[in-house]
Amino acid sequence: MERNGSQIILQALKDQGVGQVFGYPGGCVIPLFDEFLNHSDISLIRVAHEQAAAHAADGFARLTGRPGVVIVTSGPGATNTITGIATAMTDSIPMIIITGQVRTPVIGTNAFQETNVIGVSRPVTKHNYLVKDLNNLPRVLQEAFYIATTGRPGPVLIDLPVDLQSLTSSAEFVEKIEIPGYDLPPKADLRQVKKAWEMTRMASRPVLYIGGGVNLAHAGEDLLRFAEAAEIPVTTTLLGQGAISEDHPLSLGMLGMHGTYTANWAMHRSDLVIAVGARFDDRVTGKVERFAPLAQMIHVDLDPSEINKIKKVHLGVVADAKDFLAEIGKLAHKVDSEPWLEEIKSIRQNHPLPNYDQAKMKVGELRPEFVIQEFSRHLKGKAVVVSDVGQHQMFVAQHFTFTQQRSHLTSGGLGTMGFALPAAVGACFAEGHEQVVCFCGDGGFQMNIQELATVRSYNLPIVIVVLNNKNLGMVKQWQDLFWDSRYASTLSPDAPDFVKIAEGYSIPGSRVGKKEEVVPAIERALTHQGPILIEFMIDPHSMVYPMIPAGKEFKDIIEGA
Amino acid sequence: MKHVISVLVEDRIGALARVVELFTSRGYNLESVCTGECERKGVHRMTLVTTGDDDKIRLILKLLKNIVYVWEVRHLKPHQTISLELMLVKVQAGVAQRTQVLTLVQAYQGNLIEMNHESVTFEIAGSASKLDGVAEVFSEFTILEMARTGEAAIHK
Ligand SMILES: Cc1ncc(C[n+]2csc(CCOP(=O)(O)OP(=O)(O)O)c2C)c(N)n1
Repeated sequence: MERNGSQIILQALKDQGVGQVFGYPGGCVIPLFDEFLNHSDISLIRVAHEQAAAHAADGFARLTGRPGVVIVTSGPGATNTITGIATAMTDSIPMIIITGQVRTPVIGTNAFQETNVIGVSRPVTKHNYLVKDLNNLPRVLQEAFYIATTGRPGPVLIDLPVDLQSLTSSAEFVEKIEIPGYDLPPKADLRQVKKAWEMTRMASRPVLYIGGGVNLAHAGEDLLRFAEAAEIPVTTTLLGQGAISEDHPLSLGMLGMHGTYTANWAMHRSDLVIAVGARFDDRVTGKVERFAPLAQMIHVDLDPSEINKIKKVHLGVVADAKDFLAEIGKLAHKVDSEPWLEEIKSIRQNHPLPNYDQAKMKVGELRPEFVIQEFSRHLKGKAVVVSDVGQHQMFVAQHFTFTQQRSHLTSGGLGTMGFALPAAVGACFAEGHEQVVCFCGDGGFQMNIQELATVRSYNLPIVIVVLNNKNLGMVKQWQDLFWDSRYASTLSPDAPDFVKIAEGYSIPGSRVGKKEEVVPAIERALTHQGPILIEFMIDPHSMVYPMIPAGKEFKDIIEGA
Repeated sequence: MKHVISVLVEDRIGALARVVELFTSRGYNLESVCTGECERKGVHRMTLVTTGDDDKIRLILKLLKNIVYVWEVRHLKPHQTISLELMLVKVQAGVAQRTQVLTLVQAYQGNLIEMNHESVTFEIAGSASKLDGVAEVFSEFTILEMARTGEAAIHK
């Protein structure tokens, strides 16, 4: 059948079950955008900035596990997506980005809005394509989805010249995708699983260290079965949150720089760490030589290049997290971890997170921890929580109790300010999603604040929470701790009136400055239909504790107030 | 430590760039790259020479294999490897020095390519270390131009 390039793309998207694309128009994608008008079963969500299109696709993918799709124009449209693509790449999020390109005959002439997008995007994509022959387009689209979603997921970009969007071809989709150099991870080797179980059985202080890979693999249930069967305590990374419910007795909470005292203590004392789908990021390990210094290490990851990359391990298993956890779960039975669990229990009792309840808070003082705890109490884990980057992100990680896998969407590896609002936009397009709550600082919120327009035009039911401390809190915290409180560029006394801004976008908003107002405001927001913004004027001197400073180790932990 | 890595990579847009960028983006040395067609159609064999300790090399091998267009990655151990590099040299040599140059070229089993009244151009093939030696020996002349291909290697 003769089809033009745009029709081929629409067909491929539908074959892949894509319901919506996030995009922004421009000269080099006019034919492709036009084709969307011929299809009522796939929508094109027009955001307000291309970076946001990528974050929205990312948010959708983080929540659903299905790839998010982005379509933007050439040149500046394409380069604007790069931060969003890099964010997805770092956290292994499946995404397809289609960029328009200048006409084939003028490629390489510095034509209007021409950028070497293949070159610019190469380091931040799992794979990318420049399509010069329309006959290849069907196969390229199939391969792109396949590569983005299999193995270690990641973004795949397709650069498509505008002339090919209108030219026709009779090329068909291929029956079978064949990419000779592309290997899928093997099934978990049962001998290795057995060995892992033997090591676990012999250990007296085992800990499961769970990363984003477990969420990506939807392996929460398998994790729970294994952890419960063998009674092994579980700590997660930021991206691993929710893989085990944080109100489960075996959950130690998050580990790392701002992790719980208990989780970091347990890692420090452990004689066997089982790392699954985690990559020993420096925000987790601190000083690598002193990370879990007494432990034997088992590392399970589907990317062989992660094993032994940062930390030499005693047993490396290349396998999908779900597969491994399911297999080891079958072997597992109760081991004598009673003394270990008892020890953990007493540490937990003696070292709770710094807590700010209503009674302890001074009049006129509003602490972010308290605000987040109240959201957590009202939502009981039934929410999609999207957080931006900074202090508030860590407060959310610490004080919101995540009970479901994939329920905390946040930029972990790249730490991209401006992520949250557009990612929340994307999350709203997942069918049957829970209440979406988006936590931002006053800094990061302004990095994609224009997406209030998207929120308005699609009437997206997001509770937007701005925790306004009138400074770039996380950087200020480092200045307070390590730079003599010299606030170079971190104070924002003239931060705008966010309620007024929301109103400008016809989104209702309110400001909360007293602790008594917190609960009513939350209740109002959670029963509100459609988008709503609440700005909380929080203590500008809040610090995130506990903290193990960068490059330090457990003994250097600052427990805080 | 010097390591020779042989990579089979599909001949596609950007494939070569991904391989080379892997080294630059991670700050690894890339001493030489030699690439061209091989026994399979549509596939290139690249021979990469790098330095680093064993852990680093193990990681590089895995990262290379992660590139979608890379079919095969092989770490070639010296005793299992046949490798050869080609060197083209133009040295300044008038009548007085000509014989001396030609004798040396012959001693290295090189081939004369061109000669005129002021220079001699020749090629010499051999292992990288042999060519290092050649370069040193000829440094007593004025080398006008020199090009080395980098090692190409295959398994014994
Ligand atoms: C795009 C980007 N630029 C800069 C940074 C560095 N950075 C990390 S946290 C932070 C402060 C964030 O301030 P705010 O959004 O107000 O949140 P808070 O820390 O106050 O909660 C900055 C500037 C970053 N992570 N991302």
